[in-house]
Amino acid sequence: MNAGNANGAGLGFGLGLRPEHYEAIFEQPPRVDWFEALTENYMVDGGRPLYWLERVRSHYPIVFHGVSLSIGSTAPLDLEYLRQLKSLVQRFEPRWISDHLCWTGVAGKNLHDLLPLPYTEEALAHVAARVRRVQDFLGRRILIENVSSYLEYRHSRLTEWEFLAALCERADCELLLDVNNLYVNSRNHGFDPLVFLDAIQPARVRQIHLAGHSQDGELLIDTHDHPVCDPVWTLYAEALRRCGPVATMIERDDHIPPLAELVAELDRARALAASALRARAA
Amino acid sequence: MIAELSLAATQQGLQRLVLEGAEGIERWVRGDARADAATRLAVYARAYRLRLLEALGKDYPALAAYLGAEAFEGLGRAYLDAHPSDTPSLRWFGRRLPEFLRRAHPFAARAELSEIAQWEWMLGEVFDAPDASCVSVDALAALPAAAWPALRLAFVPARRRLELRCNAPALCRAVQTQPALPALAWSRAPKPWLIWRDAQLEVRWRSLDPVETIALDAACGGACFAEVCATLAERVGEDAAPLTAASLIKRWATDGLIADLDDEMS
Repeated sequence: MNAGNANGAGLGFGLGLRPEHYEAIFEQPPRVDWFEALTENYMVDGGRPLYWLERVRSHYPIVFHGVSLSIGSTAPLDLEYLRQLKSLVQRFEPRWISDHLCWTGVAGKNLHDLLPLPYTEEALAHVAARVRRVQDFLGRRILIENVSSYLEYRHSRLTEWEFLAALCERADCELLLDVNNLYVNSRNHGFDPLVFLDAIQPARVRQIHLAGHSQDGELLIDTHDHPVCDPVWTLYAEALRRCGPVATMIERDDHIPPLAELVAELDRARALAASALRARAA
Repeated sequence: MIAELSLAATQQGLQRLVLEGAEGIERWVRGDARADAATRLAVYARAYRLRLLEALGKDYPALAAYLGAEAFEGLGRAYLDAHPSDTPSLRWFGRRLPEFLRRAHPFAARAELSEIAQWEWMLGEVFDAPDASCVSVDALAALPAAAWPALRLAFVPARRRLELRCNAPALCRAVQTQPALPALAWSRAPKPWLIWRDAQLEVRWRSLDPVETIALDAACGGACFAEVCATLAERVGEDAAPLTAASLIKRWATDGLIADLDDEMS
């Protein structure tokens, strides 16, 4: 297994790589330490997507972030998808690979959504075994991200944080802590997000996502179309207080602003992290 | 019973709700003062349709503009019901739309819909088709005269040939460059078109005149230069055929269409 550097803290502060920003990245090098590429966008044969990924990779560290591993599905693992992923990994050498604690479909269908799992012993055993299989196939640990959810199953017997903590232990995987998703879930399901943060093992947290969300009635929806909101910044500081320095990035998938605007938002993360880590050291 | 609900049954039930609007799983889900179970489940059902319709709109912007938002949404829902996504990437979700439009009622009655969709899908295919190096005009010029008769061309894979009767290319271009779409227009006979990706990774297209169509289809089919000339001779005469073929090949090289030369001498 490829342990890598603890927490990936050395990577610093990154952004999600979006086609809207390809040219701006090379017009004036932005204050961005690394980029996260959405894996499925580069599972193509050639042309501009792979050209730009090559170009970005030659100047910046990258990490891969997938949405289609469907690690929690009861359908068989998609070996063709895994082969494509491995081939991309060999070509671009990302610092790490992540996907979500969810399922995306069964019976040959793909709903292209990060669907929630029931937090049961059966699901935990199933997901842990599949994470191990994927890690064996790829020859490295993967990161699993907590997802936003809008429902909780009555048959869940564990909390989300108990499930994640147990999964990390059983599968020997790492965590991509999405602070926005944590905040969204705490509001949608009525729990204290600090209890979640206290339950996960800091050493497992390799990367942090920050993002914005929107509101639909009484529910918060993980839309990635707004700046990071103040309660998420506060929760980010709490996460760093517990985990120490962790590679952090901002995700924006809709209403994508100019690169400079996201870089300014990333500067806020840098400043907040510096302050949180100073307080932690004191 | 709920306490024993398996992971597989949970996933089948939620998927049925999302895909088919099937009811009966509300009792699996906790409701509270923020939102009841049905409201929470509806988030997933609604998001699914919105997400896939949005993906279809990105692949088919001209078709969406031509039909208007409401009709395009109706088409999208019919397509989604007929062809739920079965690939890990949304990139391929819309691949069956041209064929669906050719066959499914009531869309099949409007032949332009399938032609516009076919055109837009091929633009996308060419956009991220496999890479290939391009043969330069200088490399062509450096070929010895004796090599030409047996010369065969390998074309870049990022290339599509199709026939259209309507003005789909003009409609598609207008979506990107003009505030309003031109009127639908039909040609009497199918018109040959070529879409390809050039050396700068730009997707380009043009209509082909009858002479170029004959030469290109022959060369793409593996004919050597002498065979292309023989085919062209029926159209332009034996004397003019070699020069016509050579100038077309030079144009293809300039366009970035030729990936390799097989001259049986190298």
